[in-house]
Amino acid sequence: MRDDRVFAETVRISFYLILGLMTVVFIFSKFMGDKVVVTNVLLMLTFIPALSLITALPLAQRRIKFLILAVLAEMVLAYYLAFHS
Amino acid sequence: MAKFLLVLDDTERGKIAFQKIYELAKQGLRGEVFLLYIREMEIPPFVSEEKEMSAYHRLMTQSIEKLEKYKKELENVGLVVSDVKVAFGSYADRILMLEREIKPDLIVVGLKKRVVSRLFGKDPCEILLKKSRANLLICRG
Amino acid sequence: MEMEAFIFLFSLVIGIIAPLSGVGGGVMFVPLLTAFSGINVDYIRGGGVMVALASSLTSSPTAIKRGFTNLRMVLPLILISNLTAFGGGYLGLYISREFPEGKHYITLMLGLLLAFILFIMSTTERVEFPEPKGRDKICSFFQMEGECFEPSIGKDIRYSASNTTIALAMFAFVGLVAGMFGLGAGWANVPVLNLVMLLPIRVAVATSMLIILLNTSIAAWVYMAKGAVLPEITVPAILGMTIGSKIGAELTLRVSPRIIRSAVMFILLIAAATNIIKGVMGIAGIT
Repeated sequence: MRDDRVFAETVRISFYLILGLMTVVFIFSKFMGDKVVVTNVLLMLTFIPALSLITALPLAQRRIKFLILAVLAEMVLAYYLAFHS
Repeated sequence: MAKFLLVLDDTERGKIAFQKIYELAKQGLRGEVFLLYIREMEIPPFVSEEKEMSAYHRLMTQSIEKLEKYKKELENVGLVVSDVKVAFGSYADRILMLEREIKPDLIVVGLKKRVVSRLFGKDPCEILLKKSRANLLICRG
Repeated sequence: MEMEAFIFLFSLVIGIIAPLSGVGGGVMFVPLLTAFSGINVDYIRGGGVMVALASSLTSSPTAIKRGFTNLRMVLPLILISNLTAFGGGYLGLYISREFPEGKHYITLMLGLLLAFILFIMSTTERVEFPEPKGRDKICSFFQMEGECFEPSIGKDIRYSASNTTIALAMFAFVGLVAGMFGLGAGWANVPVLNLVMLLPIRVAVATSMLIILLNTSIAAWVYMAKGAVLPEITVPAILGMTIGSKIGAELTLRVSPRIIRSAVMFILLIAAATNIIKGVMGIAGIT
């Protein structure tokens, strides 16, 4: 299915991009003593699943679209409860 | 003619099974033998298909060479080797799959238990005893 | 810098042996580090969740492209386990922070859980190609099925989910435990997918990875929000695990898993015993 392939490709590309960024930022943070930027990059890593689901959404069948939206809604709620409550 | 499924692999239990049927053939056992050579593998699903296929190809060549030697020795003592097969995967599952296909009169396997393996997990022979419908000859080392 | 180097090497070794032994990296990372290092259990669990996420991000794309799993298979399961994983993350941090001996209780529970995991791993048989039952309503509605080429038998196989209602209840519990201990959940997902939902073993492993990918980020946010994800632990751990798992995957093409699996389980048994002893001593006030 095309939605699966787009999902997989988004996961793969964004993971390696963020992994590279994380490594560079971590090395710099050792000299600058700033941990916040590294933590933010780690937070970006946790957004990959949601981002990949969003990219797969337009190509998914109707029933699967509904499931993707439900999972994304759960993620938004969990994010809100974790950081803003 | 009786049909035997002789299970070989790259461990001690394969040698044990081979030795037993070899000795029995020397004492007069006759029949048709199907040789199954199992390479126990658990390749995770995230290995690329090309790499997996090339690993199977390399292992297949090595295993066929070994099987040819076993085949000659068995034929020298009077057994008829009807076919040979190399399988990659779980020991018990691959035997059961082939059993369904060729319906042998007797399956010959070796048994060599290690202390650590005994602690964690079932021996494939236990699974065969539970699930196989054929007669089993389990040869102890 | 010494701690970062230690964590990197530790994760590299775990990354190498995880694919070889069939025991997940997350399951090894948290209990072993808790047992054999002086790092606070909360930070280890925070790192463990991120390691589990990174492992699944590395491995899932290839498994999906090969057809071993797909979104239709996992989304109904995720919907349930996401909720419990989130609750589990909160519950774990609540116990360790709100009670005076909370972190010792968590260490003790981690040891007991690991012993239970070892019990499951050593008593359940993995079946390569289980016979599927008829499709149930959930499976038919969401088309929880797929097709892939299985090189070991040289042909395409079709797979579909069975017993989905029972499996959903099981995944709710697994999500809770995984979130609570930051373990990843392959140790429980794979037997449920293989023996209850009757999926072929490689499909079960791939589906478990995709489940972990989709529900670990939720648990990770709980740990991040509470300040339990330390870059000094998490970054070297992710790097070590990513490099290690690439090496480990190559080695699976050459090495038989049986002996390595037994050796890893023996080490985990020692880790379980150490965590139980540490937890009991901590609760009793003996340090």
